[in-house]
Amino acid sequence: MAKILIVDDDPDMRPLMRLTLAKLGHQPSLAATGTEGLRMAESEPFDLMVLDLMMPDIDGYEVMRRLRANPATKNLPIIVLTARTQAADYDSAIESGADAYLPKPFDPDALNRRIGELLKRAEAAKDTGTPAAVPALDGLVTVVLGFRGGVGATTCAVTMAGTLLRQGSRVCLVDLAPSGGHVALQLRLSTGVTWRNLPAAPDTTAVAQALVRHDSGLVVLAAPSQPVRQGPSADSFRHTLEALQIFFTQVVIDAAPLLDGATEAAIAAADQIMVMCTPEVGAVHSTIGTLQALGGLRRPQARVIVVLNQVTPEANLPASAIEKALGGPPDLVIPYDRQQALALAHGTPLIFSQPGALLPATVGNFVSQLRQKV
Amino acid sequence: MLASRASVHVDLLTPGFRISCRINTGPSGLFGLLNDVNTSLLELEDAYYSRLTQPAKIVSHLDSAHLAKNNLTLIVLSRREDLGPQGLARGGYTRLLPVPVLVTTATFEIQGSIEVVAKFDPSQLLMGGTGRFVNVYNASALMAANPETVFSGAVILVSRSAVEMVAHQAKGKA
Repeated sequence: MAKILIVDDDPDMRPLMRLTLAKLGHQPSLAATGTEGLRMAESEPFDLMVLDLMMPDIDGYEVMRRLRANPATKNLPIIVLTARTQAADYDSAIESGADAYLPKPFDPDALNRRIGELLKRAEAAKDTGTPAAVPALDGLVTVVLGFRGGVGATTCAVTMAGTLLRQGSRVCLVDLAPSGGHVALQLRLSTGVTWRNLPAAPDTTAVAQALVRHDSGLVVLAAPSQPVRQGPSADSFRHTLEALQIFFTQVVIDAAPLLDGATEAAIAAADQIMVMCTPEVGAVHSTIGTLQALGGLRRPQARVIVVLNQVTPEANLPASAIEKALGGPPDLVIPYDRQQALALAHGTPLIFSQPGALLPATVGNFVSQLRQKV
Repeated sequence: MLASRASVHVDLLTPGFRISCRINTGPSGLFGLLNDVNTSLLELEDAYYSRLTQPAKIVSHLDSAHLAKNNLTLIVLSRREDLGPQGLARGGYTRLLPVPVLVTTATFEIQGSIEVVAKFDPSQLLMGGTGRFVNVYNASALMAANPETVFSGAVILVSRSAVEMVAHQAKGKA
């Protein structure tokens, strides 16, 4: 249980926040103005502050600047919760001392996740004596991994992103392949701008300008259409991901089929990792290796989902052999769907052209089940 | 997601200012309110204004204010549902096709997609009907004088009287 100070001038928001945080097992205190929030934070110790930006007397930026200037409160973790959601607002909040940034109306799960991360970070900082003021990330990150070609990783990533979009999430699909990205091809998007246009440490503005938009509303950070020597660096991709998570509630990453810096950074930030496999010996072998490699790279709380994708009408390996090799049944089995190949040829993925078809329906059901579990 | 009940939060952009505020909408929603020909003013509540040169810096807070619709350039919404009832905001329930567009005003370059019934018709878009605003979906508005400043939203409503140029963009071109 953490002592959390909520500073928000909205009389409707305060009781809602108190109820939400109390239900999550925390001990919330309320302040209705920036002045009151500062006074409370300076007079008693809190584990964390949830702070609005727009307040009539002292705005949230000024509250953060004063807290950071005071030795007693300079390390207090601060989550900014605001209706101001533009890139400039985010940049300014981080400059003023915010540790995390969430938009209103807020998602209680996202808030809870952020609180958990910041409290853990603050604990670790106490142990090591280093400050904990690193911006945290919003939203869910799903990484689709297929280190063996032809396992349908890109198709799965496009379908996953489309499913989330249709379920009302703000989604960005990222194609990390340095060897000629296929996301843009599947969606028939121009690759005039890709992650190659990003600077070494991209800010929110640079990232916003590198995105392309599909007619469905899906936003894509595309890969170059021609093979290049290497993907984005780990640092560059971490910055990119931070920016994307300001704009989007879900980021789906079609990872490169190699363990480069960007893929490692994606795996380290992932909330769920989908490992693609097909029913043939090479793919199963590659899946086992991938699962072993993930051990030291992923976050402990990240969910690993093994996906068996039936990309041909006949399986080369029986289900029992696959289960034995993987140590259990796959989490998701995508049946063979003849229409998928036709849809890809036409540049109209099934999730957008025939959402009731086998592939999108299977992924849709799985996503719904995951949400219920969460 | 938890939403506020009686009002929507919007970012209003004029040629010189950004105003973040709440607007109480009636049953016709924000879209109906904006296009109501019987009133030229918008009533703003809990408004925070910034100069466009420093869009994140809050200059002042106003409990309430009135803004002439004619002087608005853009309205940025983070959620499409804030527009109001679907039938009204979309002009019906017919199947609509998204068309990627570039729209410019004196201050902004806006990219996103508009939704049309059959084909892109600039005359209809800018001159047809009585509505004051064009809805641009999944949009971003870049300030021409300071391209570092970008506003983005699920919908950006662009004042038709402020539009200088509108162009159909190649599919997927950002």
